[in-house]
Formats: sequence, C-alpha cells, structure tokens
Amino acid sequence: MMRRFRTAVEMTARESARNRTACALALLLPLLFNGLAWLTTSERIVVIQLASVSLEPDIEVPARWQAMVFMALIAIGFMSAFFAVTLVQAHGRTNRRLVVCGYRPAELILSKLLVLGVSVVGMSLYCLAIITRFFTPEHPVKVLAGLMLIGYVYGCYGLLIGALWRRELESTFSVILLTTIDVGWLQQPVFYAEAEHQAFIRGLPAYWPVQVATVGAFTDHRVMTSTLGALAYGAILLLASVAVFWLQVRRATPATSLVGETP
Amino acid sequence: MREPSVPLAARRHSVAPAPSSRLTSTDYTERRRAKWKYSVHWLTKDPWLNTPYVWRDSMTIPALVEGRGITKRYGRTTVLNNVDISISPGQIVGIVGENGSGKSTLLEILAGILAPTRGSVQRRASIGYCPQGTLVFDALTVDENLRYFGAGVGLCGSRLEARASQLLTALALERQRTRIVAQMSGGSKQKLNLIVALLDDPDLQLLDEPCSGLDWETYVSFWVLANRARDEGKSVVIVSHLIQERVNFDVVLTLRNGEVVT
Repeated sequence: MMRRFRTAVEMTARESARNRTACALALLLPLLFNGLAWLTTSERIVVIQLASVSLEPDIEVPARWQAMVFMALIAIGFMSAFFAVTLVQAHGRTNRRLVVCGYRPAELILSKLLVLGVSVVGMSLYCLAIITRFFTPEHPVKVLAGLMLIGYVYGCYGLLIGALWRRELESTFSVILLTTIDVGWLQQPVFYAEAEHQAFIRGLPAYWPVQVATVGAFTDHRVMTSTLGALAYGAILLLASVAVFWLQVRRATPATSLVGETP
Repeated sequence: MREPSVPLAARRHSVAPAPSSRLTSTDYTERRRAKWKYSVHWLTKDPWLNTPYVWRDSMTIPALVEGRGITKRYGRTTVLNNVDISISPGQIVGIVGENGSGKSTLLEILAGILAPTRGSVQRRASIGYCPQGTLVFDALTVDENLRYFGAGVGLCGSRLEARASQLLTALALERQRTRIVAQMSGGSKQKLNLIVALLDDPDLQLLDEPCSGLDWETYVSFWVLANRARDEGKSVVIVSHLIQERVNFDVVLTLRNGEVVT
C-alpha cells in the first residue's frame, strides 16, 4: 500500500513539474498581482474590520499594505484551486485505469493532495517573500499560515470540483465564480466593515484563512480559532472530494466476485 | 518491411471450439490420462485432440469469467440485451460487430469497470484490461508509466524490469523507454497502452481494439504473444471490427444491436 502511495506521489510530482509553462506562471502571477497592487494603491490609511477579532472591530492600516496581503491570498487561492482541478480532471479515465490495476481511489487523491500541499507551501513562501519586500507584517509566520491555509482550503475545493465535473468549462466557471466572489470581494476587510448579512460571508471557504493572514499581518491577536476553522473547512471539502472521486473511479464490481442481479 | 517468418494462419491451432461436446466426463478423463505424457499442460492443451483446451459442459474446470444475462441500459437506450458469455482457459475469443453494437461496453462489464444493469458476472482470474483509447500519462516517460501501473499490480524492482523488458522487446518499444509519451507516435502510444494491460501476465486479457495503429511487424508480434498466452492456458478476449482478424480467433462472438447473433 505504501509503495503504491509513494509511486503515485512521485509520478504526480514528476508530471506536474514537467508542465514548465504552469511552473513559470506560478512564479509570475504572484509577482504580477502584488506589483499591480503596489502600483495602483496609495499610502492612505483605510479602516478595516476583522470579523474574528470582536474586541477590536476597527483597525487602521495603510491601503497598500492591506492590498498586498489580499493580493497574495487571491493569487494562492486561484492557483491552488486550478492546480487541484487539473490534477484530478486531466486524467480522469487514466485514474480509473489505475484503480482497475489495483490502486485505491483514496491513495490517488491523497497523493494529489500531497503534491498540491508541497506546491502550496512553496507558493506561500514565495508570496511572503514578495510581501516582505514592501512591508514587514506584525507576525510573518501567521501570514504564512494564512497563505498556506487559503491554498489548502481552495486546493480541497479544487479537488472536489475536479472530481465533480468531468469537463473543463464547468470546473473553470465553478472555480472562477467562487474565488472571485469569495476571496476577491466578500472577504476583503474593507468591504466586510460595511457589509450587510456578515454571517453569510463567515460561511464561505476563504473566511478563516483570510482572518489568519490579515490578523497576523496587522494585529497581535491569536489566530488559533481561525486556523482550526480553516483546517476543519478544508477537511470537510477534502472528505467530500474523496467521496466523489471514489464514486467516479471505483471499480463497478470487485475484481473477482459474483455480481448479484440488479433489478 | 520484413515479412513474418510464419504465416498467421499456420500458427493457429483451431478456428472453432473443438468438436468434442459429445464426450462424457468419464470418456474424456480416461483419454486424457492415457495421453498424459504428451500433454504440455493439462489446462492449456487437450492431449487427446492436441488442440487448445476448450471448456465443456461435462468438465469441472471453471470458466475464467462467466457472464449471464448481461443487460446494460443508458436511460431508454439498451446497449446490451441479455448477453451470455463464458471465457474458458486457453482461448482466443473475438468479440466482433458493427460500431455501436456494444462490444466495448461488454468488455468493460467483464473487466468490472461498468456494472451491468441486469445480469451477473463471475470472475475467477486476474484480468488485464486494455481500453480502446490510449489511457496512459502523457507527461511521463514509458518507464515511468510502467512503474506507475506496475506498482498497482504489485510489480516492482527486478520483477518489473524483467517483465517490462520482455514486453517492450516483443512489441519493439525498447528504444523508446526514456521518451515522454506525449512526444511518441500514436502507434507507439498504443503499444504502451497494450503493454500496461499485459504487465502482470494476467490469466485473462481483455483487449479493446489492441491492434489499432500498430505497424505490421508489431501486429504480427502481438499475435505471437496472444497465441503464446493461449498456449500457456491464459485467455485473450479481443474486441475487433476487422474481418481479417476473425481467422485468428478460436471463438467468435458477434454482437448486433446489443445481442449475440452467433
């Protein structure tokens, strides 16, 4: 079992690393996003509201700093979701053949998650390095945790979408729609400060990771609750994706067995 | 291009199942015992008839896979209707028919990839399945693909190397071991597709149009491999729409509109 898992991880990693264009874009996009944020924002002070910090509802931060953190979150959210979709969807029928050969669906999807996890850690470190070129967050480790958590949650969401939809168009719509609305708009602390029905925003996938990153960047508050919330949210998405993937690629009937009559 | 040294027809052992269904179990056992010293393998060769072993109603040797009343429906469309099939050890079985007659669906049901809407399938053998399209990882090399699929069937290290070398040599893919699959020709991809199915030397090979895109020499090599597998007591089920391939089959199952007509 461990040999199968190790081989699946190795081959998934090799396959992903051979997509040179995607690797180059993974380096280029965060730089582009943060570069645009730096160019298009001013040094003026904005008032933001952090939903997970009830004792200090309004925080004043430079707009540019806030935009830099937010752009890093958007970049990692987008990239991890699309990467996860591709990992699952690009070889749907080949994955099924692997299952016929003896792999377990859980081994395959966990191998993809592991490769995704390593990529997310790499992307998060890279984004943090870019951010710290422009300003020093209060707690860089918490910002890093927030970046990794958004990659984890949206990576699991991507795995679910990739398993759920068999075609690229539906997956692309699903990923773009949620990431644009959730990470790109509703979780923006400036927007959140004046938003109606804030409970709805707190139920979206990016809520906990954004709280971890923003709280860590601009305050001294604890982020344990938000971290656990993000981990739990991602775990639910992961379980759902494993279930859907299993349904998609499992053998219809056991390898050696008697299949009963189906009415 | 080099012609095969032995014509295909000459290598064939039989066209149809041996005409011995009138034999009783006792007759058969006595004759088999008497001729035992001539037999290569009691599962693969019928020593009395000197033909590949064919399962008979009176014998106790079970079929490798047996399907009864297989019906498959997609909505209101019936793809297969009440199909019975039994694959015995030491047979090359051809499933032929027009496009859309249900050949590939039947093979997928036998392989356990699809579940029948109604009917039963009983399997008593390890199965190697070669799908119609090339289902391998394009961004990996031939060797990496073999390692990936090999781990699934429990092959690794020297055992994998030995088996992979044997198949790669037989199907003339040895020199492309380190090439990325995406950079290979369609025929070479099909060879890899086939090799993956044969990797663990399964008792039952379910091959969906395995020869599509193969060059003549590889085509001949494929039939050498298939005949060798049959001689070793394994069975090969081949989906084909090529009329000229029918002469290579021991048993031909013709499907028309989802029903067996022969």
